[in-house]
Amino acid sequence: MKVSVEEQDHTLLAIVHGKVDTSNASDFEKEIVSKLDEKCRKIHIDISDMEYISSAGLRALLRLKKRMDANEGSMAVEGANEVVYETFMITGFLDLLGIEKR
Amino acid sequence: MKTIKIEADTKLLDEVLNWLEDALSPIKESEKTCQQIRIVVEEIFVNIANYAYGGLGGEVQITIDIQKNNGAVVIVFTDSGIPFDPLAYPEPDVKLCAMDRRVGGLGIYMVRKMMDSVSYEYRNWHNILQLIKINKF
Repeated sequence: MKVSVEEQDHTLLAIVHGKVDTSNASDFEKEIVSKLDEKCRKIHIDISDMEYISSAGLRALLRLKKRMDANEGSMAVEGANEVVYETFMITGFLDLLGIEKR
Repeated sequence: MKTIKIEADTKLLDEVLNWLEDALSPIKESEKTCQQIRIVVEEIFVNIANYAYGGLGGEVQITIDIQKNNGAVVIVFTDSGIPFDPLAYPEPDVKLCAMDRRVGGLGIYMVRKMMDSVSYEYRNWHNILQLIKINKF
């Protein structure tokens, strides 16, 4: 897993590569949280290069989403491949993350 | 049939996943099936590592049998930890919004949804969990 994060106009843009699993989900979350500040209104996560995500990764996404919701911010996740899309569908994360149904 | 016997420790997850790559090589063209199997093997291994031995440590054995006649992939986890039936674990409410969602129970739920069959038995001091995925070519 690799994640690159940059800030632009109070929005964090994160691009994730590889698999987000038990061994790296907390690093993924930390990378993003460490760049969050009070002015941040939105997190945009590009997952088009993410291979798959296990429940540890889903928990990280859920915690990020809770953080943004509680601070009147928003979070968008875009570019899920077939396996990731299905994982989101099974677990209710499509609705939770506001991802359009295919 | 491929078998690995390994200490149930989350630090060894990569070792398990590397072994899994080799075990899945006969069906590596079925990318979606392989990804789902990687996810469920991680979920079950991590679960056993975190809970089966109550911090005392212990081993887990994983076997994978790819049946050539019907494409079924049969995965069996055996550990000698505390009796635990994952099928008896309550399912999470996947319709709740983010603020109301709890973070537990998701892994086992994913396993049940991604596999075609999940069965559990406790026999001779061992937890035996069998997963079957029908690989559609």
